Amino acid sequence: MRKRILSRREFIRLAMFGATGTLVACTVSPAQVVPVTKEVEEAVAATPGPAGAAAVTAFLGFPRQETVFVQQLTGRNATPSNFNEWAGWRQRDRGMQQVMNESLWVDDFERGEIINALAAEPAAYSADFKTLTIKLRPGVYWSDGTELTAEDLAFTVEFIKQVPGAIYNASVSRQVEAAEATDKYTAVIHLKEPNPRFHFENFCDLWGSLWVMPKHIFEKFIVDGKVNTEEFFAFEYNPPLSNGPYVLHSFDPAGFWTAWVKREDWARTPTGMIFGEPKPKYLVVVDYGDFTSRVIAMTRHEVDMIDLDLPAIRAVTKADPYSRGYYAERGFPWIQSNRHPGVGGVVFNTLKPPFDNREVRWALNLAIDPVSYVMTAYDGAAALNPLPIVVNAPKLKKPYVEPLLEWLQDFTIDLGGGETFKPWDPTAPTRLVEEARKRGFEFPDDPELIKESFGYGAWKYAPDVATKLLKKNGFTQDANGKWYLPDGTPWQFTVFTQDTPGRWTYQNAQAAYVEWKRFGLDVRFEVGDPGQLRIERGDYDVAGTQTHCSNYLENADLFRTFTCFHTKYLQPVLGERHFGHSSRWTHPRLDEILDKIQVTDPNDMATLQPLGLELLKLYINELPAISYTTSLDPYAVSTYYWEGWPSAENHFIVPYHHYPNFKYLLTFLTPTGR
Amino acid sequence: MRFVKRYLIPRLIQYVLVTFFGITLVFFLPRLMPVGPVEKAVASIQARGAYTDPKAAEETVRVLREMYGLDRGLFFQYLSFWRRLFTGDFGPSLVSFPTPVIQLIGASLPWTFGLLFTTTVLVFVIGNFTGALAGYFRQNRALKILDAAAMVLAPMPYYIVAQLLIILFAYLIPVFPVGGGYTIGASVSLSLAFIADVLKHAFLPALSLVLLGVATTHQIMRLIVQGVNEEDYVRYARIAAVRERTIFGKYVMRNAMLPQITRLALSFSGLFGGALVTEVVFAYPGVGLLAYRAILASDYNLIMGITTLSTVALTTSTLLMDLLNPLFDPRIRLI
Repeated sequence: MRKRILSRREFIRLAMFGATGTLVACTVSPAQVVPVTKEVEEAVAATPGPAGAAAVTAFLGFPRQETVFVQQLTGRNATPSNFNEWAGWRQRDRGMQQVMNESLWVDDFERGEIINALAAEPAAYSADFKTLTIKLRPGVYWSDGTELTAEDLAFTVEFIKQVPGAIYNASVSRQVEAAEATDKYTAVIHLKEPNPRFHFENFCDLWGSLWVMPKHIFEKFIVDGKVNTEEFFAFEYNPPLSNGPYVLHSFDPAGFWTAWVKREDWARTPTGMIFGEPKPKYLVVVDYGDFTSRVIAMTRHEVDMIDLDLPAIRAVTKADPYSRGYYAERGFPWIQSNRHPGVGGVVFNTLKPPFDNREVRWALNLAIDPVSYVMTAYDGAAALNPLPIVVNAPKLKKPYVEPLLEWLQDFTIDLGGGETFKPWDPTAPTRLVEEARKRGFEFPDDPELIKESFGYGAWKYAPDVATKLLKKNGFTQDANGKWYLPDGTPWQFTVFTQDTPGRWTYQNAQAAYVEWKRFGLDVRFEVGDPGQLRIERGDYDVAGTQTHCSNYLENADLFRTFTCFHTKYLQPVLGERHFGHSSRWTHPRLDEILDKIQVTDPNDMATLQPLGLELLKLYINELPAISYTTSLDPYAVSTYYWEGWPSAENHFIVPYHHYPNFKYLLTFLTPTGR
Repeated sequence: MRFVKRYLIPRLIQYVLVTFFGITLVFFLPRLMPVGPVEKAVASIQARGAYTDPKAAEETVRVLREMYGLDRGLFFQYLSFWRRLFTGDFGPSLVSFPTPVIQLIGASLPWTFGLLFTTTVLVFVIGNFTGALAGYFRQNRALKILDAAAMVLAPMPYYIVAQLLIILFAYLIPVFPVGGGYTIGASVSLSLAFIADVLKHAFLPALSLVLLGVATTHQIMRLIVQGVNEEDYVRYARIAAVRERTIFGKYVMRNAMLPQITRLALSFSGLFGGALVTEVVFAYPGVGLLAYRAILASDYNLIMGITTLSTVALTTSTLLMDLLNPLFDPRIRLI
């Protein structure tokens, strides 16, 4: 037989064909998909799309005038098909927490109340705070038609208690003795130790809480009274049941969007019972990409609510007459809610000299011009908030802010040699408004509105006093103004941030850096990656971050605000991961007060108010961090398809598209008919 | 036999060693970071505002480390990795626990592959063709304009070009979508309408990659051709009155293509690593964003999955080039 020999040319040709065929075979394999339902296809066919948004409506989809599109805060979904929230982080802001889940209680800092959602009333504790009784709202149904009862709640607590690694397991297993349903709508949780805040810690939703599981779905993982953890973690819970007003419609297997459709029986959900019918038929949570793409998407009316930075808000409001920021008044459009319960500023590493010295911290505070700081950080569009609690918080104003403002008038710091200084400056907000006006912004001349929007005061800008304080503590300055530490070495330090420009942590760090540089300090600005956990490991001098512990809830209990400063949480070795406050500041008196608060009913204001006030005064005196503004996360809304969004003039509900409260917000919207 | 002994076997040994050490290095590097996936996961949950008792957070870290097998020694983890690798399993993603890494990569890879394969081939064909023409016919006015365009485009930062294209074709002349792999809500199928939709969404990302890629390849090829054009054998061919077309096609192009083919092979290895900036700017689904997030979250298994594929692709394409080179370049066959 004659041997067939391939020529070089033939070999290359064949190889090319083979490779191309293989590659084509690889690339055309379709990804797994959740199909659009027949119901939706019919609805689309019956609904003419608006001419202006043809690209959005033509292919698919969702009739634009019946759909709200919002940005997904945490970006593309890593595991789009997995909805098992109890088994780990599932990017719940893809709509799961906004419209699928109803928590027992939901904190609403704009309304200034804790909303009884799945719970019919506030939690009730026994006198020894060891037994917690939770009454559920009757008539709430899962989206498969099963009624949600106390059996589900008791099951959830017992289930989570048994599964190490499950969300909230560490808290529940440490504290819960047993949970039981005593009747259809009453669950009782027995605690190992007294804790009057167990329900706040675990069941009150402020961007996260322990969600009630549908027992009839998850009980299959219990074999002989024990949870089969391996199968539980492998369970994707797809499609998930909903106890909220919307149910999963479809999702992008590549993770860029998740679509939800309103339940026909929305009235059998807490949202429906409390606020009525959510108006949009569909909600789609999308990752639109970077700020430029988001702005363009809004100008094309493809999205109704997006989170942006300040320059991007300015760009979108300029380019699109239907878009706005938190203020509906277009003269000052981009300031955002100053009731958000987190306060941003800069934090000192108090285990690191010279920041372990209270007077050095105070000197650095007085070297900052508050007006210039807010101009650098937020272009003047933020309230001055020099306390570790939000000065405009409805529930904190009377018990804490007002008495504190009086106390601050006379608050003095000792400069040595019998000289004292009063650092409080109540005129700062007015100066801030004047400065903002100089930049072309319009703002009414109403003193109350100025306070509401720009705060009640700030720390004085007193570089001369700052100099005195530093010199009192042995610091020296040469003829060129360069500062030296008490041991004679040049004083150089870093202001660190582990966030991106636009985020409040970054903006605060940058503003502080600018101020101290102007004061003449040899300070450097350093940007790191959040993954390095440098702040948590104490690998920094000064950092832009939250100046207190967890965000407080809408009651006047400051336990959450200060508990992480307790000495029992302190990791004294820098470099080791610390789970308390990143300043690592502690104080014996603070421990005493916190120990008292811990065993006090969070509603017992007669006991809590003086203790809370003392905590605040102690904090101000010691100044482990400089608080400056609420933790601003600016956003823009479009009024092209939907109206009725909350605003600074009418803040009836938390205005963010990624909060659990968004399901309530949807009930207030009205279609424009475009 | 001489070829096998002196050329093939050393390259095969080199292939195995480079792959082994590459993968080993990638295994240890992320583990040298001061914080691991568990600490980062707990920190990201804490950062969202929900209350976490510091003691509970500490306990969660301990439990998760145990669950992910990170409490075992490094050597144990290393052996487990190799054991799993030989069965084609990279283990579960630590951040998206317990979703298998291979499933995450599988969902993103077709997008990356489709986009980058197409653009790589286009860049190779267009860039080399125009570059060769510009290098050979140096006095041609049209080619001079092309040269100038390439000179302007090539040094431009990719991000800027991508943003310009979005502003131009999604905002000022809104003919293309701002981002995404396909229209929101569309169901994936092999229908013509869906394929057209995918192509429409891929157009701007592809254009951004092709524009800059072609500009760079054009400039490189032009310089190579200019060099080859001055070689003695080309001069002799001219003196010998060989046809200009033959000189261009058989003498100049074929020699100039040799380094470009090697470049092409190396480019193909990037198909598994993704195009991060493209994916971020155009919100395009792909492996790049997956890798970026895996690195940020220290998701060791996912990092290993993606980098192992990239490493193997790189070493394999290098090996293939080594093996195919004798076919393109007869001089190597003399070894």
